[in-house]
Amino acid sequence: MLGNLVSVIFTTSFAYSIFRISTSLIYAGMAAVLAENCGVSNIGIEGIMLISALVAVIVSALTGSAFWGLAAAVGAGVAVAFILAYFIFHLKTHFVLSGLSINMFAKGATILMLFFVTGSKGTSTTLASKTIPDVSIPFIKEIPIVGKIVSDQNILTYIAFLITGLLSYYLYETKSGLRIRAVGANPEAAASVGVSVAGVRYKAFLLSGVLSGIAGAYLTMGYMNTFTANMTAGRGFIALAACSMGHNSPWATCFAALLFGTADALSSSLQTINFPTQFVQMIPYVITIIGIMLYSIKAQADQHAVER
Amino acid sequence: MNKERLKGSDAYQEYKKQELIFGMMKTFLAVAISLGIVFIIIAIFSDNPIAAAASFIGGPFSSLRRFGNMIEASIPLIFTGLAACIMFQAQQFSLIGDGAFYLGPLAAIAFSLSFPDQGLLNTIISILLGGIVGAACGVFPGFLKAKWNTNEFVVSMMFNYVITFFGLYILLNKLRDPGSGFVASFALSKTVRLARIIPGTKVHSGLFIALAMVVLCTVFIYRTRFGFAIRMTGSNIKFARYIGVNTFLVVFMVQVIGGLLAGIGGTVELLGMYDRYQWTATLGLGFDGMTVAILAANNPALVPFGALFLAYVRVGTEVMARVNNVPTETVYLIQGFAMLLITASGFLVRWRHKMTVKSAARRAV
Repeated sequence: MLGNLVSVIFTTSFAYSIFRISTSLIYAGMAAVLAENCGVSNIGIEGIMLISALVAVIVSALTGSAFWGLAAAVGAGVAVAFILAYFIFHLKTHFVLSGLSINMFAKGATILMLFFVTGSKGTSTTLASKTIPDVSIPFIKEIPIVGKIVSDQNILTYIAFLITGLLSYYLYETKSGLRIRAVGANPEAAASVGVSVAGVRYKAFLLSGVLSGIAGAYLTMGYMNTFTANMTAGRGFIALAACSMGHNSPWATCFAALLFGTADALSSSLQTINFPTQFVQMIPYVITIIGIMLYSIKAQADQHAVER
Repeated sequence: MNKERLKGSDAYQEYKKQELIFGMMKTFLAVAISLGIVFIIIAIFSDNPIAAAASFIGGPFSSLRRFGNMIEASIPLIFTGLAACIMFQAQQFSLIGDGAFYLGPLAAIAFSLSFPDQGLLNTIISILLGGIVGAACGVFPGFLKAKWNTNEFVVSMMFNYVITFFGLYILLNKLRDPGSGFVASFALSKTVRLARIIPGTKVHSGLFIALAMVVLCTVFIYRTRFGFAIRMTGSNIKFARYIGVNTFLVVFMVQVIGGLLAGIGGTVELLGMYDRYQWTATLGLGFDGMTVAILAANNPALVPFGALFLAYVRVGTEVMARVNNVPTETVYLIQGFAMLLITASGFLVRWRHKMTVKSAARRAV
C-alpha cells in the first residue's frame, strides 16, 4: 500500500493537479483576506462564486467570448458584493446572517437561472460556453520535472499568484491598503483621524467581490467547462478557513489554499487505491482549527500583557 | 433607576409594546416581499402562472399526505430552530447544529443496532445518546470561544467538516450494510422506530418530543436564572460580566445546548422517518434552523410557527414543481430574502422613528 501511495503522490501530474485545484481557492482566499482586513468577514463568498460561475457560462455562451464571460462574472461578483455590503453597512444586518442569506439566495437563484436558460436543473452542458485557455511557457516547459508541473496551467492559475503578490503590496505598501487595515484594526481610531470607515469597508467588499467573481469564473471556464448545481461545494467556506489559517496575510493564505488543494488532490488520488480518504480530507481543517486556536491564545496573552 | 421601576413605568411598557409591534410588522412585511418575489418568478417561468401560484399556496393542504409532509418537515426544523434560538439569544453565531444533527443520530444508530433490547428502552436511550453526542460536538467550539475568544462561526464550520468526514468514515467502514444497494447502514428494527401518529401520513411521535422541547426551552430562556444570564450576555456581554454573570459558562453552554438539541433532533428525524442511516453529508438543517430562529425573533415559543412556515413553503414549492415547471429551489430564494430583510435593523427604521416621535409627542401633550 505504501508503494502505491508513493507512486500516486510523487508524480508530476499530481503536483500539476494541486495548482489546478487550488486556483479558485486562492482567488476566494484573497477575497476573504480583503474583507477580513477591513474587519468584517465576507461570509457570502460561497454564494458570490456560485452566481459568478453561472454568469460566466451564460455570458460566454451568448457572446462566444471567454473574455466577456469573465468580465460578466466579475461584474456579477461586484454587484452581489455591493448588495451584501449595503445590507451590512447601511441596513446594519449582522454580517454572518447576511452572508448566509446571500449564500442561500445564490443556491436558489442559480438553479432558477440555469433552468430558465437551459431547461435543465442540473448542468449547463447544452450551452456552448467558452473556456479560458491553458498556456505553455516557452523555456520552462523544457525543464525535466518542473516544466511538466509549472507549464501548461490555466492563465488564471498564473494570474492567481500575481494577484497574491499585488494584494500583498496593496495592503502593506499603499496608502489605500493601509487604510483598509487601519479600519480593520481599530475603526474608532481610524474614524477619529478622518477616515470614512463605511467607505473603506465598501471598497474592500467590492474588491472582494471582484476576486470572488474570478474564483467563480475559473470553476466553469478553467477547472471545468460546464456549470453544475451547487458546484462551489463549500469552496467559499474553505477560503475563509484558508484566510484564518494564513492569518489574513495574502501569501500565507495562498499557501494555506495550496494546502487545502493538496488535501483535495490527495483524497481523490487515494480513492483509487482504497485508502480511507476521510482522514486525509480532515487534515487541513484540523490544522486550521489548531492554527486559529494558537493565534487566539497568543492574541489573548498579548491583550493581558497590554492591560497589565 | 432600578429595573423594577423601569419595568413598571408607562414609557417602558409602551416602548416594549412598540418594539413587539414593529418586530412583527417587519417580519410579516419581509415574508410578504419574499413571497411577492416568488410570485414574480412564477409569472416568468410558468405557462400557467395562476394555476402554479394556486398549487403553491394551496398545495400543502390539497391532500392529507401533503399536509402530513408539511408537519413531518417541520419536526427537524423545530429542533434546529430551537438550537439556533438559544445560541442567537447569547449572540453566538455557531453552525454546530449542522454537525450535531449529522453525528448524533449516527451514534444513536450504532448503539441501537448493537443493543440487545429492541424496544422502547432502545428508542429512549438512542435519543438520549444522540443528544449527548450532539452536545459533545458543541463542547469543542464552545470551549474555544469561551476560553480564547476564537471566532465561533469559523471554528464550528471547520469542526463540522471534521465531524462529517469522521461520521462518513464510521458509516462506510463500520456500519455500512453491503447488501444495501446504496450507501446506508444496517436497517433499524421496526420496534425501535418512532410510532406514526396520523394514519395516512408519516407524521411520527417525534412531534411530541419537539413540542416538549419548545416548552422546555421557553421556560429555560425566560424563567430561569441561566436563561436570564444567556439573555444578558446576548444584549451586552461586558455589562453581563460586570453584574456578575458567568459569561464563560454562558458562551460555552449555549453551543453545548445547541448541539444537544440538534443531536436529539437528528436522532428523532432518523427514528421517525428512515429505516437506515443514509446521510453522506450534512443536510444543511443548521442553516435552516437559523432561518427559523430569525422568523421566530429568537423566541423559542414562536419556533414551531417559524418551522411550520418554512415547511409550508417547502412543501408548497414541491407541489408546484410537480404540477408546473417552477424548480423547488425557489424556496432558497424565499429563505435568503426573508432572512436578509428581517435581520436588517435598518429596514423600515424611518417608520420606527416616526412611531417613537408620535408616541413622544402624545406623551408631551
